[in-house]
Amino acid sequence: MVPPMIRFAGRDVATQPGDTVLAALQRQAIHPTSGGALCAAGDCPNCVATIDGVSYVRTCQTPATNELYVEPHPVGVAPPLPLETVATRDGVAARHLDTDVVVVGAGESGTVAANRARADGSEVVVFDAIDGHEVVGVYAGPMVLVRTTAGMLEVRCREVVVATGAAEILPVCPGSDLEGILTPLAVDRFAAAGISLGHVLTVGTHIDPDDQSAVSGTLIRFEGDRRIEAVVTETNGEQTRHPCDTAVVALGVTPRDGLLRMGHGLAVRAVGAAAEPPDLPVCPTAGVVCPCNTITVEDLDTAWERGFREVELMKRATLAGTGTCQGLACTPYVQAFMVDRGADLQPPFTARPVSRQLTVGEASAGQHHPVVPRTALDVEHRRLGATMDRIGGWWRPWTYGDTDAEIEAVRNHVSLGDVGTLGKMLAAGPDAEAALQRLYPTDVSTIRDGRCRYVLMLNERGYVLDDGMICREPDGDRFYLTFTSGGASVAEMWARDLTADLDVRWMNVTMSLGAINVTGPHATELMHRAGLDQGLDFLSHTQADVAGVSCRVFRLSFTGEVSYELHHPADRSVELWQELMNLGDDLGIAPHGLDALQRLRLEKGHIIVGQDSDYDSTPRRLGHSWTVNLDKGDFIGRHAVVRTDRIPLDKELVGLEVDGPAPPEGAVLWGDDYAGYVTSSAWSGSLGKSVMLAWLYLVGGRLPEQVTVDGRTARRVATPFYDPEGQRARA
Amino acid sequence: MHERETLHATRIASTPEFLATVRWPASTTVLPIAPDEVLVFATKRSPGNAVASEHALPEIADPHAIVFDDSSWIAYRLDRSAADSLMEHMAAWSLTDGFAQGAVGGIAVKTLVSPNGASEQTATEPAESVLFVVPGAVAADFEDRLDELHALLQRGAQR
Repeated sequence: MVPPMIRFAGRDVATQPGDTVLAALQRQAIHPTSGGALCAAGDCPNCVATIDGVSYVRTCQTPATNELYVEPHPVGVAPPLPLETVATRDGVAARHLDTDVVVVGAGESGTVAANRARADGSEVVVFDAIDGHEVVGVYAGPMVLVRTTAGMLEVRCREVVVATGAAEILPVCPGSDLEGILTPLAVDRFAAAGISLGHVLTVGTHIDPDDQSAVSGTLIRFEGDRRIEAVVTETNGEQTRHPCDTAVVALGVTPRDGLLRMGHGLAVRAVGAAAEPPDLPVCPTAGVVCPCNTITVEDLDTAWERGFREVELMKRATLAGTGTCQGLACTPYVQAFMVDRGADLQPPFTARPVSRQLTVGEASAGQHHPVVPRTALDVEHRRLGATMDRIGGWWRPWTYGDTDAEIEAVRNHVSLGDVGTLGKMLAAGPDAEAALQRLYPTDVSTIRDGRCRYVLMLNERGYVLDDGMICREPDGDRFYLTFTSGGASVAEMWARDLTADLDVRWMNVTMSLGAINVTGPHATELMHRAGLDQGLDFLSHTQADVAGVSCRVFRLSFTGEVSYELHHPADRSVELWQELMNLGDDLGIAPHGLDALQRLRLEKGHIIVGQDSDYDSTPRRLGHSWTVNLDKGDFIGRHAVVRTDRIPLDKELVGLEVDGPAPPEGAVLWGDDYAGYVTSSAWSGSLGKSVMLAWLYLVGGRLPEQVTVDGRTARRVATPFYDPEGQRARA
Repeated sequence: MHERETLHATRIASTPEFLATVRWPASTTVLPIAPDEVLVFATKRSPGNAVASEHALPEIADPHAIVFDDSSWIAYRLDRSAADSLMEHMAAWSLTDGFAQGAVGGIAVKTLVSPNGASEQTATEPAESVLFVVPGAVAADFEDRLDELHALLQRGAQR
């Protein structure tokens, strides 16, 4: 098989079997970056490039096994985002694995550790970057995050053994950014790959005594123009210039213990060279200390003089240690620098996941958009061409295409709306009524069998938490409760927590029941056609078959017209909807979406908790004091309501109207002063003007009669705007 | 591939103490979805159905119990290897024998695996399968996850 060609900066580069990308480039005397010492072990930042659109890839760790497009990073700036390629990429898979022991590193010490753990009966998994399994993070658990060629792997285990060995220390001196500088390991690897290195010299403090290419003296600088031409050393104050083609720097090693430090406090331990103390290099006098961010010795001096005298502070002041090598290159020198300036030897930088740049796909592997529930009618809405949107935590039909026509159907004919998103709960038990008396400010004991009542739910501070209906079942000690679409889950937790001492059973049936609102002047006729023979008083409910579907039928109104809410088994929703549409065909029936409902309820002045209410909305501020019965005994929020009722009212939710189109929701001015804000605003075709709900601050104990909204004069008026006597809803 | 079936179930809310004393018929599967609530449905498979629609309930002696017929849950039966693959890719927890519940692909899911590795006891079919139960309101999203996994595995196979 012919080894593949790789393409580097537009030119073809031949490869040989077993090559890494770096080896293939070096064979052609190509440095993948602008220069700098190469370690060929994945530790330094001097060989990273963009490969097939992914930046910060270590070419020394990338097998040249297929055609690759390699681009050098631009000098001095970050590589460009892969905007063109990212959209066409498949998602990155995530996998999960459980085991007893994870060993990171398949070298000698890792193998020994793995064998010992297996001998103890533990299940062991060994990961090594060279095999395509790069551990990039250790998290609480411990949980190990592994980047693999097949995606991201999350491994939960009892213990992590870090056997990652040690990294060779890179040189810091003038000229250390030239090409042709290698660590001893890199020389071995390139020699094994058959790469010609020319005249090689070895310099440094940790030279193998048998090394015939070694030169003595302290490393002072490298000389050359782009590529190294000579090494300059100093012995007894005398400098010597050593011409060469390749310089090998033997400066000792520092442990690759980043994963160990990430796992601080967890069951993570290091073995082998990763557990050994580092060699401390000679403090440099000049040159680049951090090749990732081009931080120089002068930069360290500046930070030191400004008082940054701890390793962590030095990192923040200079950004040394924040680059792609995560401090492997610079940490020994920062430590040596601080010791040289008089500080104690300090531990290395804090290590945090992840240790390598991940692609967006890798970082988001296994993540999904939060789930948005759909009502049982979702398919039907989409079939009807509705514009769907995520509102109140659910997918809901915003409009079926003509909101004005939908409003017309509600006001003059009959219409169906999907209200299956409403929170719905059942309560039963000997203490059910007592539980509701505690949770609500209304006197639940006065709700007769088969009747419903609008209620607010307050928190301890007397602020409105939610609203809905309490419906007492015909048999007395059972209740059906409704909540807002977005508030049901919180309301359930609230109810359960605050009545845990009472003998009451709760069941959240929000997702179990569909709910259809049949509303409009012909609603009663439609219900009659659907089989509801009995009359139903306003604010009452009953169990009945409607179009062959068993429903709990509520006589309520949010639109201002005669309305029947049909709560029914969710698996019958589509059938019920379609049958009602058929039965109402000659009555001018049409569905209405949330846009229409928002306008219809606004004409009636009905609030939407969360939209018109705020975090500090009391019943009095909302104009809903009529929902509170202070004579019934204690309830949650009562003490706060009693207390705040003694304080002069400071703001109130009021109705405003303007001529012409609806102003945007926003600030309300009185003269030049801020006077409040609009929470809901809509054009009312029924009234021929725009109507709003708005918070207004009282001035001198009075509410202003006229204010300015969006530069136009708005009049304060009583609500409801539409049918203030409520005759249409009660008809 | 997966079978989708509406689960014709009954939810019963009562006290934990009472629910612990109920002797459920052998023909029913009981999922203890909360300390005070169980989800009950028929155990035996019907031909062509993942879950039978008929199930017998014992007399519920708690007069205040809420007994609620509920057909809003959707059940998916996956063979064991597909179920394991789904969990491997989308859950930070593993299937356990019997009932469990947790997040799968960010969706609250209930799982049922019988002690012998099959999902339910059945005399005629040694089903090596697992039942995944989700509220109907998020069933479409769960199916998206299953499709996503299917695509993922196909891509892996192509490699």
